[in-house]
Order: sequence, then structure tokens, then C-alpha cells
Amino acid sequence: MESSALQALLSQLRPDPVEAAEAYRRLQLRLNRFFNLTAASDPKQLTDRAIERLAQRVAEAPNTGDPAASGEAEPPVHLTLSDLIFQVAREVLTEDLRHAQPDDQAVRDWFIRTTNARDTNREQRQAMLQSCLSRLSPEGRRLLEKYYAWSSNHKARHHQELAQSLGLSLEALHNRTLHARTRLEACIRRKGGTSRRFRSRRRRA
Amino acid sequence: MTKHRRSRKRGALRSQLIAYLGETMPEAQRDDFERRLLDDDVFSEEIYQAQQELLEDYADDALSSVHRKQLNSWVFCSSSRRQNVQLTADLLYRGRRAKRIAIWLYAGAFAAIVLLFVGLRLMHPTRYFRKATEAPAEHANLPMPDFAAPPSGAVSFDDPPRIGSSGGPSAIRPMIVRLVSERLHGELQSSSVFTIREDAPVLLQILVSSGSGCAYNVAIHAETAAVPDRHREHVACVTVEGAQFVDVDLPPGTLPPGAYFVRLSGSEGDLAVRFIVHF
Repeated sequence: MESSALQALLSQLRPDPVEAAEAYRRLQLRLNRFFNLTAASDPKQLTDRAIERLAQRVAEAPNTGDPAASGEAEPPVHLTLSDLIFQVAREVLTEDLRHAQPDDQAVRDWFIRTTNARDTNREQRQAMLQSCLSRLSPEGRRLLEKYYAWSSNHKARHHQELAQSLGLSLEALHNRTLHARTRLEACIRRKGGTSRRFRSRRRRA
Repeated sequence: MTKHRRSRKRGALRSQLIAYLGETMPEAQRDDFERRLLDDDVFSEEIYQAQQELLEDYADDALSSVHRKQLNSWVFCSSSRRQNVQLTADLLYRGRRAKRIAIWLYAGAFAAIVLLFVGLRLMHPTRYFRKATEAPAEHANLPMPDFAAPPSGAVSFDDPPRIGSSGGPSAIRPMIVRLVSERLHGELQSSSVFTIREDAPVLLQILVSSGSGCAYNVAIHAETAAVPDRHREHVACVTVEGAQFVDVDLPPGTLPPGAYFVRLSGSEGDLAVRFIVHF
């Protein structure tokens, strides 16, 4: 991304540079969650693409602005920043969904296999999961183990009791679990990638 | 916000999210929903939480079949969502397996304790003793294991300190030789054979067919061994669970291998019993 385009976007977000940086971080988070919910590909890549395109558009149309965000009394000429964000996000999403793989039989087979009680790869995944859990902090590991220990139909009560026992609100419990889970997912992705590379190297050999 | 209102709000958000993902939401509402996702930090956070819960329920197979069908293509079309579902399913499987193992361990430990308790009850010496006295005829004149102590209330003798009593050699447990006496009509034919330890004291426990309060003079005659006869005067009967016994304590070494004849003389007539011991 060109630095002038980025500067243009930041100045449209907030006049004050410190506030603009914070607004940029929050915009990035909202876009990431939007693509996480709606898109098929990697939400981070799509977020980067959307921000780059947004910055270019803002740089090309300097009159675009969000009066509520900037606090300026002057009305926008074409689109508000909010409209522009929506437009760009929809564009990026439409492109992504166009290139996404259709809901094909292979994917359905994958799901049936992985949710089957006789899933042959389950023990292998469990070993990887165990290894990644052991790399987390003891608190993070215990939290994940307790969080996912609900028995059928008692999930809400289980989480309520767990939050109480840890002296947390339910929202705080979910947030902490999500953070621990993000670290776990990163480890599993790394390990999954390593084992795939190892398998392909063995096949080549 | 109260807990109830919070729960209602979460429910409403969840329904909204399912409608959006299942593509049952009208177009205008979809636009508004997406705009809020991109503009409103709080709404974005709430929907993100609701999305995670929905994926958890999907992995746990806790959704209704209608909702599941609506969400299938949403889950299938993204590798990150598929991985999310798979990881959640694996974490749930792990938790449930650990719980199952814990339950089996608890059940196994409980069963082991129960078995141990039952086993100890069955193997306890007092149980043998009780069984034997309940049906004396069946167990009469069989060699008995060396029991810990003679029954309480045993008679006193003129021998040195009573075997097994607090003043005697309490470390050595007496071997119980249980005999069933018969009325003396001529010569006794049958003899029971016992193996005893040379260094252990012996408690002769002779069942008598008399009522309570009986007393006998006891004479132990060695038929083959070179030991003098032993006599006890006015040995009172001991009642154990309704049966009458005459107990005679003998110190170690008083019954060398050989055949013995015991005569019990009382007011109700004479009784006798023959037995053989070896080491």
C-alpha cells in the first residue's frame, strides 16, 4: 500500500494521528470479523485487500469523509467513509465468493468422515491437539479443557458455572477462551503444515 | 443489564445471525446487518461471539435439523470454518473421553474396594469360626487353621499362664484342635488326624452334647506317645452361639506325635474322643 494512500485513509478516519491509529485498528478488526463471518477464504488476506482498496479510493476521492467520525460540519460530496467501507467490503466479498470452491461432494465427505465415530484420523488429531495444548500456558490449557467439558444440553449452565468459579463475567470467559483458542489454532496450523510438508517430502522421496 | 435481558438479547442476535447465514433475511435487512457489522464495534463483537457459539453448537450437533441444514453450506464453503468446527469437535471429544475415563476409573476403584471388603469379610478368621460353630457336625474333627485367639470366657487351668491371655506368650497363637465327643459305649473306633506345629500351643476344643452350665473332669491319655496323662478338674463348659464346648489349653510340646484318648466325666455321664496328631 502506498504511504500517501494510507495517510489519506488515516486522516479520513480521525484528524488526530493517535485517534486515527486506534480507529484504523478497530476498522481492521471489524473487517476481519466481517470476512470471518461471510467469506470463504482467509479473512486476514481479505481484510488487507479491502483496506488497501479503501485507502486507494479515499486517496482518489479526497472529498470523501465521515462527518460523524471526523467531527467536521462540512457534508461529504460523494460517499461517506462508512458507505465506502461497505462498498469495498462487498466488492471484496463478492470476488472471494466467486472464486470460492462450490459446496461439493468432497467437502461433504470430509465432514461426514470427521464427525463419524470411527474417524480413522481422530486419534492422530487428538495427539496433535494434546501436543499443542501442552504448549499453552497452564491457565490457558485448563481453561480450554474446562470450557469444552460440557455434557449435552448443559452448555449454557456449564459456562455460567465455570465463569462463576473463575470470578469472571460470561463475556470475559468467552473472550479468554477465544484468546486461548486462537493460540491453539495457530499451533495446530503450524503442526498441520509441518506434517503435510513431511508427508509430501516422503512421497517425493 | 439484567441476566434475563442479556439472555434475550443473545437469543435475538443468534436468530438474526441464523437468518443472515441461512439467507432467509430480506435484502434490505441484510444490507443493514452488514453495515452495522462494518460500522458498529459493539455489534461486530456480539455477532462474533454469536458466530463462535453457533459453530460450537454445529460441532456438538446441538442445532435443530432445520438450522443445521441452513448452515451447512456456510460451514462447508470456508476452510477456516471447517477447521473451527473440526477443532471444536476434537476438543469436545477430548473432554468427553476424559470424563468417561474418569467415570470408569471411579467405578473401577469403587468395585475394587467393594471386592476387597467382601473378600476380607469372607476370609476373616472369625467368619470361619462362626461357620464352624453354626454346624459343628459337618466340621467336626477336621484340622482347623491356627486361629488368633480362643473364644472368650474360657475356663482357667492350673497350668502356667493361659495361652493367648495377656499374661502369657501372646505372640504365639494357639492352634485350635476341634473335636466332637461321643457317649462312651465300649471302644471308640474313629480317630481324627491333625497336623500341628511343634512350637505352637494347642487349644483342644471339644464339643459336648450337654446343656449350659455343665462341667467335666477331663483326662487326656497318650495311647502311643511317651507322655504322662493330663487331668483337669471341673472344667466348665463354654457356650459359643448356643453350642457347649470344653476348652483345654495345652502349652507347646505337650502333644508329641501320636494317638490320644480324651475322657470327659461329668454328672450327665461320660464322653470320649480319640485323635491323632503329627507335626
